[in-house]
Amino acid sequence: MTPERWQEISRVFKSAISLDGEARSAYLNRQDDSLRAEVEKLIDSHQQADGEKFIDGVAAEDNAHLLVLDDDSREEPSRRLSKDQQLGSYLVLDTLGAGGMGEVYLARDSRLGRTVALKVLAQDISSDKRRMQRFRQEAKIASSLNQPNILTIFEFGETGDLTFLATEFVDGETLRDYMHGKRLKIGEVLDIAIQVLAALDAAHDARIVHRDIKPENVMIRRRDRVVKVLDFGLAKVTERKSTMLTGQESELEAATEFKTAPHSVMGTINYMSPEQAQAQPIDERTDIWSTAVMIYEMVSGMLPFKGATDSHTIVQILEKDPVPLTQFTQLKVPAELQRIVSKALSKNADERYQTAKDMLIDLRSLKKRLDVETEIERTSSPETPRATVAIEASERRPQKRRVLAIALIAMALATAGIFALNLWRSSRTRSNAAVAPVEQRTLTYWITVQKFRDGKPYQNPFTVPGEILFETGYQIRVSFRSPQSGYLYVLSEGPREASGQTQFVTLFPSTTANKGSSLLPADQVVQIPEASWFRFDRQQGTERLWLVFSSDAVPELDALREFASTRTAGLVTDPAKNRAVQNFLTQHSAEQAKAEKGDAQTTLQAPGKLLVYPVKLEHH
Amino acid sequence: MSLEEVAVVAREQGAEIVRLDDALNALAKMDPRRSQVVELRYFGGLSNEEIARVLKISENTVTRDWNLARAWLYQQLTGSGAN
Repeated sequence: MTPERWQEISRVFKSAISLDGEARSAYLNRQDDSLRAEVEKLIDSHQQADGEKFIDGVAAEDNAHLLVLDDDSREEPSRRLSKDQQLGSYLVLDTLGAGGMGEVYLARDSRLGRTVALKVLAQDISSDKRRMQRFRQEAKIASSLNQPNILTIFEFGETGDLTFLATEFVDGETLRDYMHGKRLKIGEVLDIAIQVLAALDAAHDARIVHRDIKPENVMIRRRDRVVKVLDFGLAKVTERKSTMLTGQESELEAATEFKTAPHSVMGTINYMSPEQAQAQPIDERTDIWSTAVMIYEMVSGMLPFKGATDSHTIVQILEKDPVPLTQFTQLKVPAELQRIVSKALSKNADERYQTAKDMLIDLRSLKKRLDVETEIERTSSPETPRATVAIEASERRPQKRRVLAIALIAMALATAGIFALNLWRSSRTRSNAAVAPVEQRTLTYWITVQKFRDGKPYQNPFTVPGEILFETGYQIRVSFRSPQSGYLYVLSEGPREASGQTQFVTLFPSTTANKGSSLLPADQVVQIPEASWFRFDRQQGTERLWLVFSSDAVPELDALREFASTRTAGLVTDPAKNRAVQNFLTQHSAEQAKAEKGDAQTTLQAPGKLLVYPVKLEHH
Repeated sequence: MSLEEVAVVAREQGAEIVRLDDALNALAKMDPRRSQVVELRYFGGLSNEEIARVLKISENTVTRDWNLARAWLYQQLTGSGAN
């Protein structure tokens, strides 16, 4: 169908649908036969689609069953149960997921008529009778605490060679998925942390240590955002042997026979406390540490301790203090929250909060204080009514869902045997739809300079048109605009590594600028960095900003989008991607753009569809 | 959720969403805006109001675009279309 024909059909459809009964028939009768037939068919489809609620929901939710979590990315574990299979009094309804500990199914308890989650434990875990005995005991005690933030265990069962656990079914997602690599708002972080600590408080009272607090073990119920902590007691039977350590078995571990099986699951070590990482005896205070790591991650989107390898991470856990949350200035982290986190992350357990309750009290009073402040702000500034807050809240969700949908589609395509994400992404960028063809690309940029003295801005900022010679204390912003729409990428050329390879930092697009899209509409101004200033690395002498402005999306550069978050401060950490960028720039910078320096700005022009230009930022 | 963390239970239903994706791409060729409305609403989970704000069109237009685009997609997926 040609776009013109489609336009015609849509025009008639639009009018027809707004009329009803006879008026509609009369209107359609005035159209020519083929047009009328087409529109009538569409109206039929419209009504049927309505009746069937065709694509009425949200893709990610409609298709949630396509997704399964495999939280330690091992090979797909074998599924030991299938749909409609009976296990004791449980009828398997669906598969929910699979992880290191075994598989999880949705099932119906025919005796009590309730829906449960059925966790079938992996063979290697369940085969050790003594460990299982202890696990059973701990799990039972924890769930009998009847604390609303602890996942309730209904039954512990064995049939044949299967050991399973029937628990409360929580319709929701793990905190890992909920965060989705993004930062959460402070208020939300406090809500979640408070509930986790309330669960721990109850468990600790019963002398049960969780030992494996991490986002994968925290569920957030969809309907009311209630937090549920999973797998109390399970950590003990699944933890791995700490091979990198002293080799000394701790007394406690030896005494209770909880040495880990050699082939047990390799868990994440990022949330481990120093004493855990050293295989020393642990107690309740290890959970306090892990909770603080989680809070840090929720607030900043980054892990406080993360090295290139497990051993590096352990060194950090044992020796390094993480960057204080208050240093992420754009996040506006309350100093009190930093104090709480840093106390909970004391290397020496004696200096930490000694009980979950103490930490809980501090977090609660911080939350109360922030709530009051928000209330005061709200009531004292009628200019910014509640609606803004509501919009902010609603904007986070769809974005998250969309990414989920992307993953979903990607995986669906993968099952269809198509290599997934790139294909999907490129088909979604619609390169030809939005960018009008032009004979040459034009891009204007200007640099705003702000002087800083003792870390504070002084004097008014001024604008320079082009390349710049830095003086001490200069910090800059670079702005761009083009009369054409096109794909814009801005990278700064980072330090050269020992390997001789250059690393790049992606400055645009970013997750916040232009909604993460590289497609820049005509005449829209982009400023980099958005909220702060770009500082010059004095040691280096020359820094380069690469500007790429193209009619078509550039796959090599679009692939960097995952680094555009603050997670890695935009630094492209993947060597292959750095190489691809380097190649692209080398290949295209020969055909350099023509620069015309005006009084306040520089306009670049390059023939054809692509403009590549390095802006030099030099030091005196 | 990273790709590594996602594994798929391969199923028939996967095919449906792939077909929808194909149809949506076809629609985008004729009518980028209406396909975008579907994308934002179905894949993005945005409300009509939010879509109106993102695309800078009125909410009524979003509703009309949605009705037409959905009818057309339905036709493509059920094979009741003329072309």
